[in-house]
Formats: sequence, C-alpha cells, structure tokens
Amino acid sequence: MATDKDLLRQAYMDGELSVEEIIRFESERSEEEFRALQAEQAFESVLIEKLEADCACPDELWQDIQNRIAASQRQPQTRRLVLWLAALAAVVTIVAGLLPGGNARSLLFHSELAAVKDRIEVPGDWQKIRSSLTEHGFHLALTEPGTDAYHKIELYGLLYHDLAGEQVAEVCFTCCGEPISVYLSKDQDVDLTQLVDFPASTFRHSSPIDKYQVLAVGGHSPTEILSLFS
Amino acid sequence: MAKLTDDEFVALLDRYRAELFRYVARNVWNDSVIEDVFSSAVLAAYKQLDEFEAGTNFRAWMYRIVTNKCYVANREFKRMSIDIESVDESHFAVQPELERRMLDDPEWFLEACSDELHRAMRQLSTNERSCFLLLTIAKCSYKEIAGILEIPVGTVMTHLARGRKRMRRLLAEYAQAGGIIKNVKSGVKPACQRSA
Repeated sequence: MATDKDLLRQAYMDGELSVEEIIRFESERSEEEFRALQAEQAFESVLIEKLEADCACPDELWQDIQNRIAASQRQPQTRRLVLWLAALAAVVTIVAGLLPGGNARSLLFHSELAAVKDRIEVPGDWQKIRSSLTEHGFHLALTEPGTDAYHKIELYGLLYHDLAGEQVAEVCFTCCGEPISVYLSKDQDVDLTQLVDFPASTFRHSSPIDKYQVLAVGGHSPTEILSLFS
Repeated sequence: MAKLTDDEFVALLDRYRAELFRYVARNVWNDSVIEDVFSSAVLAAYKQLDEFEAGTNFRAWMYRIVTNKCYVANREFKRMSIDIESVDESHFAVQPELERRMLDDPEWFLEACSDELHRAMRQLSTNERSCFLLLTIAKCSYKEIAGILEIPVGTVMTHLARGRKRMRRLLAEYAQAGGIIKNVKSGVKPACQRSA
C-alpha cells in the first residue's frame, strides 16, 4: 500500500491540500525534495499533454448523435408506438422460433436486408466469400471476428453489381442485428453511393483499403466490420 | 424536480463533448469501440434525462454514465480490474536512478515512448485508469472522482498512487528495452529523438 507520506505528497501535487496543510507541507520539505516534486510535476504535465493529443471528438460523430436526438424530438408521439411494435416484434420472434421450421433470426432483419436476400450470390460462408472475392479480382483479406469482438457480427452474403462497366462487390453483414453493407470497388473514382440499398442508413463510412475504394453503410457503426478487411 | 429540455441537453453536452470523448478514447482498451462507447453513453444519458435534475452537476452525471459504459466495454474485452487489496506494490517500483533519468527531460522521454504511452495507460486497472483520467483530463477533484466512481476518497488516492507508479514502471521498462535510457546514460541522444 502507498504510505501516508506518499499520499500526502500526491495530494500536494494534485492541489488537494488546504492552505494550512500546504504551509505545513512546504515547511517540512528540503530543497532537494522540492526539486524532485517540480520534476514530477513537469513529467506529469507533459504526460497529460500527450494523452490529450490526437483524440478529438469527430464532427461527423457529433452530428450523427445530434441527428438521432433531433429525430427523437420530432417524433415524440411515435415513441410509445415504436415500443409497442418492438414488443410485438419480440413476441413474434419468440413464437416463430418455437414453431417447427420457423426462423426467428430472419424476423430480426430489417426490410432493407430482406430486399437484398434474393440477390445474394454467395451465402454467408467466410471461406466461400473470400474465395469468390479473390476469383473476382478483389485481393483483400477478410478476417473472421475473434471471440473477443465487441459487437456481434454475422456474415450475411455477397453479391456483385455492375456500375458503369465497373464490377463492385457488396459484402452484407449484420452487426448487433443491424444490417451493414460494405461496397468494394477497384476504381477509386466510381461513385459507390449510387448503389446504396439502405435509404434509412444511419451510418456511412468511406475510406480506401489498400488500392480499393470502400464504402460501408448501415444501421450501425461499421468500424469493427471494416477492421476485418485489410 | 426541474428537468432539462432536449435542446438544453444537447447544448450542455456540446460544452463537454471534447473532454468526454478524450476520456473515453483513453479509457477503453479497444480503439475500434471508442466512437460506439461515446455514442451509446450519450444516447443512454438522453434516455435517462428524466433522472437528471436541472441545476445539479451535469458534467459529473455524464462522467458517471460514460465511466460505466467504459467499464462495460472493457469487461466485454475480458479484462477485469485488479482487487485493490491483492496487489504487491513492489512490482510497480521504479529504480531511483532510472526514475531520475525519466524525469530529467520528460518532453523528450515521453516523445520517445510515443505509442507506448497509450499502451501503458491501458495496462492500468480500470479504477486506476479512471481515477487518473478523471484527475488529469477531466480536472476533477478527489471528491468529485469519488462521487463519479462511487468509491471513498481514500480509495481514489490509493488508485492514483498505484496507477502512477505502475505507469512509470511500464514506461521505464519500455525505455530500457528500447535503449532510450541507455542513450541518456551515455549523454548522447539520437538526433531524431532530440528534435522530437
């Protein structure tokens, strides 16, 4: 355990002592001890400076949060209805799961994802999707999420689009039950947003991975899913 | 009990969002969840807005919610905080000579440690890190930290002392292993480190 002397010294450095305590503390210190205290304070102020650097709240994140709050403000009367619908959906999901041959999981998918379902060319098998991407010239690594993944990620399937003669791959996931599509193009200039199938998408994230243009859209932050690609 | 309106909530949050985000960024173990943890904390606060009494300490209330979200995120990451009574502090002690060299030129030393600084921060226990970040980034007093973390002030002081020792120990080990301290001993700092 830290000694009382250590804790008193720390409280002095942290500005936690009263005036009387400061006077008493300082009167009992030698010059050498003061120098050591000053060195420690200098060390810590640089340390704090380093910790505070490079971690600003992204404007787009703040904007997204504001939008979500504003959306709640605009529709206060629908909140109760939404809760009732959510409760109803949960009941239907449970009942469907109990029925022979019922597929409770599919009821959790949003209508947008259901719309994609019929066009899926390669179903959600990690190895098959990796192979298909390679066969189509998309030489990207796609790693399965580890057991320590923060979000529940499931691979839903893969389909291809033709966009002005350029082939675009769309890898469909669900993250915590929310659909997310990741569009991959070998052409950095093509406008991938033309393909966006999720009109109500909350999150859109665009960034290159290696030589590929990548656009992720969906009802959930795609950060962890994008980290699966390299 | 007076309540905040949604607009007042957003305005107050805008005032503190930079420091709250920094706190999350330095508190969670997994970089990929920083934005998620921050968003979920804000939206959780918004949902609980009825529980907040206007005119009381909004900042401390937000820090409590954000801290809980960080705890949950880190617990998900399968790392538990260390029991305060079960730690042998001799493991954290830095040799006096080594410490003197670290403190000799902190700007250069911490620049040389670079990313190791953030890794070291993440190796502190959850309580050590939260106490340290609330003190340094959030500029909270011991009493405020105790209120946010719902622990006694004496425990805050112990976590702070232990966290600081552990952090220095980790940085010292890195500096020794990476030859940073050795360069100081010979009196010659590499040019790239001197200019940093």
